[in-house]
Amino acid sequence: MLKNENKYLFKFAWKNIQQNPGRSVFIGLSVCLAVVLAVWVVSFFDGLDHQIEQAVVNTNTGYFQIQEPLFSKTTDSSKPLALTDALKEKLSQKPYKGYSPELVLDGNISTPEGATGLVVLGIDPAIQKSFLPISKSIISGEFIHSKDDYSVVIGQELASFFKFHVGDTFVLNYQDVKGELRSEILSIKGIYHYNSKSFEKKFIYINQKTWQTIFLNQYNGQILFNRIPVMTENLSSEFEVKKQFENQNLVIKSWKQLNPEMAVVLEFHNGMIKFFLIIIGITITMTIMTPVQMLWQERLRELKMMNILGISSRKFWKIGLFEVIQMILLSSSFSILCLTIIIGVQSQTGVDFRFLNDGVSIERAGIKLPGIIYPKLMGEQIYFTLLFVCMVLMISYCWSIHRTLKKLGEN
Amino acid sequence: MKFLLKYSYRNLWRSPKRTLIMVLSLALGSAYIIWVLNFANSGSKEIMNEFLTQYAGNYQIVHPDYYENDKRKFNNFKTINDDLIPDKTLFEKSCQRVTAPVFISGEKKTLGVLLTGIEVEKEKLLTTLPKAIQQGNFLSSSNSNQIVLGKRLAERIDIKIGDEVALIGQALDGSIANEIMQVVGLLDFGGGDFEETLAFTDINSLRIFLAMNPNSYHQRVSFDMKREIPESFPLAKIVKWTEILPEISVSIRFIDNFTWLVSIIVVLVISLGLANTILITFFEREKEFYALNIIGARSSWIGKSLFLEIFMMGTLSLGLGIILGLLATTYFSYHPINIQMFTGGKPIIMGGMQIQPLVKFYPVTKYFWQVPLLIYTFLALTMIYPLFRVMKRSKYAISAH
Repeated sequence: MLKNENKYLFKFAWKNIQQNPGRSVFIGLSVCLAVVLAVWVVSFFDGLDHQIEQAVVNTNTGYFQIQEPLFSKTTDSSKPLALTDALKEKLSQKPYKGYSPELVLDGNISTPEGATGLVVLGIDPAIQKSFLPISKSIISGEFIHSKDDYSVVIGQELASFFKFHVGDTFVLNYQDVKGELRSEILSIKGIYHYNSKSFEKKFIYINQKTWQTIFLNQYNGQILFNRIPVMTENLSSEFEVKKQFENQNLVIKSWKQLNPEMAVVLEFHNGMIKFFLIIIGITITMTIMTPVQMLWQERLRELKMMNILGISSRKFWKIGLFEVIQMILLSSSFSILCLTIIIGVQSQTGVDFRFLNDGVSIERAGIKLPGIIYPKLMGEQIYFTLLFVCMVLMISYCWSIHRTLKKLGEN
Repeated sequence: MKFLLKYSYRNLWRSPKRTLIMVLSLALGSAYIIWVLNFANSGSKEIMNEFLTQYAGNYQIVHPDYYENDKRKFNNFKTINDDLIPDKTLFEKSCQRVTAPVFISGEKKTLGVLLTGIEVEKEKLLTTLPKAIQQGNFLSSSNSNQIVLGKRLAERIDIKIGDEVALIGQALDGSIANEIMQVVGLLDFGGGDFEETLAFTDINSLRIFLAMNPNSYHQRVSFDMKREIPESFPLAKIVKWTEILPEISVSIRFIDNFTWLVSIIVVLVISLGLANTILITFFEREKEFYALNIIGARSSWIGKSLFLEIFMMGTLSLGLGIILGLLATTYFSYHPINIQMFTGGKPIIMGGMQIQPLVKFYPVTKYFWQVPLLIYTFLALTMIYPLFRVMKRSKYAISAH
C-alpha cells in the first residue's frame, strides 16, 4: 500500500513514538480524556433531547401533523376533511411509522369536585393503535371500539380528580358545529395511564362515530380528520413529508412548531454544547501543544544529524505526519473504546438526575421532563470523535514540527 | 528559605517560553472558568428576573391552605386580606390578585382558562405584563368588566378586540357565576402555553364575579427581587416561585450544575496537560538533581524547590487568570450578552411566556476564590506523580553511586 520509502518512514515514526512511551501515552491519554468527556457530555445531551422529543411527540403530537387549513389557523373543528384512500395509501408508506386521523373537540366537564377543560379526540381505534400505545396502557376497563356508542376512554389523572370509575357517566359540555351550547352524557369504558399527568387530565378518546354525531350532528360513515399526527423516525424527513403534501390544501407542522417552548429548550442545549466543545478544543490544544513541542525539540540533535546525512525537511514533515496519523489512530481507537463502554453501559442504566428536584417528577409545557437520562451513542459522535482527535493532534504536531524545523534551519 | 525561593524562581525562568505557555494556558483556563461561572450565575438571575417580573413574581403570600402539595392545584375558596399580614412594608412592592378558573365562551368555542383579577395601576408599575400586549390596550382601572387574553386563545375562540366573551365559573358562595366582558387587548407570549391558558381583568370586576369580600384576595404577589424572602406568618403563608414553578427552577439548576461540570472538565484537561509538561521539565533536570544530591542537597530539599516552583507558577497564572476573568466579567457587565445567541436567534419561552433577557454580568466574589482553590487542588494532585518519580530516581541514583 505504501511505497518502500514511506513504509520505512512510517516505521520510523512508530519507533519515535515508542522512544518515549510514557510521554506518548500521556499525550494520547490527555487527548483521549478530553474527547471522552466532551463526547460524553454531547451524548448526554443527545439522550436528554431525544427523551424530550419523544415525550413531546407522544403527547398526541407526533413528529408532524397534517392539518386541515382552518383548524391549523384557529383550531376550528367545523370543517373536517375525509381520509381518502389516496391519503391512506400515502400514510401507509415510508417514512411514516404510524398515524391517526383525529377530530378535535374542546369541551369541559363540571361536577361538585370541580371543573376542567378537555380535548375530546375522535379517533378510529384500529388506526390509532399504530400511532400511540394508548390501547396498551389501559389500567381499568377496555379501549373503545369503532362501533361503540357514547363510550369514552379517559386518563388516570382525570379519573382520580373527578373520582371517576369504569362504567360511570359524566356530562360533557361543548359548543357544536353551529356554535350552540350542548351537553352529552358519555360513559367511561376505560382508563389509561400514559405520558404526563397534564396529558392524562386533558385528552379523552371517543370513536369517530360518536364524535361526528355529537359535534356535526350526523355520522356519514367516513373517517374524517381535523388533523393527522404522524410518527416518523425523526424530524429529518420534514422535507419529504412537506413535498408529499404540497398543493393539497393541507398544512404540515412539525412538533417544534406545535410545542415551541420545548423546541427552544433543544436549541438552547445545542448552542451550549457547541460553545462547550469550542472551549474544550482550545483548552486541549493549548495544553498538549507544550508536551508535543518538547517532544520534538529534544530530538533536535537527532534531526540535525539526520539532516547532515541528507534527509530533507520534506521527509521530516512526512515522519511528523506519520507520527500524527499513528497517534490519531491510537487516541481515537482508545477514545471510541472508552466511549462505547461508558455510554453503552449508561444508555442501559441511565444517569439519575432526580436529586435535582428531590425525586419529584417535573412537567413543563405539557410534557413530563425525564428524571433519569439515558445518554445516546450515535454514529455522528464517532465521526465527531475522530474529527476532534485529528484536529487537536494535527494542530499541536504541525505547530511543533514547524517550530522545530525552523530552529533546525537557524542552527 | 530565601535561597530556596530564589532558586525556584530562577528555575522557572530558565525556559521562559515554555513557562509562558504553561502560565498562559492555566491563566486562560482559570479566566474562562471564572467568566463562565459568572455568566451562568448572571444568566440565571437575568432570566429569572425577566421571567418573574413579567407575571409570576418572586413569592406569593396566600392562605395556608390555598395551595395543595402539588402547587398546580389550588383551593379558590381560601382567601386572605391585608390584616393577616403583619409586615406592612411588604405591600409596597407587591400586588393583590384574585384568581378564578373559568370557562370562556366565544362564538364557536368554550375553553377553560385561569382568569386573574389584578390591581391594574400597581401591576403596570411592578410587572412587565402590559408590554406583552400585542393588539389593543392593557386594562384600565377606571373601567370594569374588561378583559385581556392571549393571542392564541382569542384565535381559538374566534374573538377580536372589542368583541364580548361570556364567562362561567363558580362563585365563592357556591353559586354559578357568569358575566359578559369586553376584550380590550391581546397578549403575545411568543406562542407559549400561557397564551392559551391565561386571561386578566381588573380585581374589582373579578371580586364581584366571585361574590367576594371587597378586601379579600387570593394572592399577594411580591416583585421585590432584592429583599430576602420573609418567613411565613401564622395566618398567611409565603410560597416561593421555586415551589410554584419547580420546572423552571430545575431547568435553571440544571444549567448551573452543567456549568460547574464543564469547569471541572476544563480544569481536569488543563491539569493533565500540565502534569505532562511538569513531568518532562523535571526529567530534563534529572542530572542536575543528581549533581545537587552529590553536593549534599537532600531529596526533600529538591522536592521542596520543585513544589515552590509549581506553586509560584500557579500563583502567577491564577493571579493573571483572576485579572483576566475580572476584566472579561466587568466588560460584559457594561456590554450585556443576548442569550438568544445560544438559540440561533430564536426567542426563549419559559413557563409559557416569551422572554428576551440580556445577560448583564454581576461578578460573584466567591468564584474569585473558589476557582483558584479548585485549580490549586488539581495542580497539587498533578504534581504528586512527577515529584514522586523525581525523588525516587534521585534516591536510586544516590544509592547506586
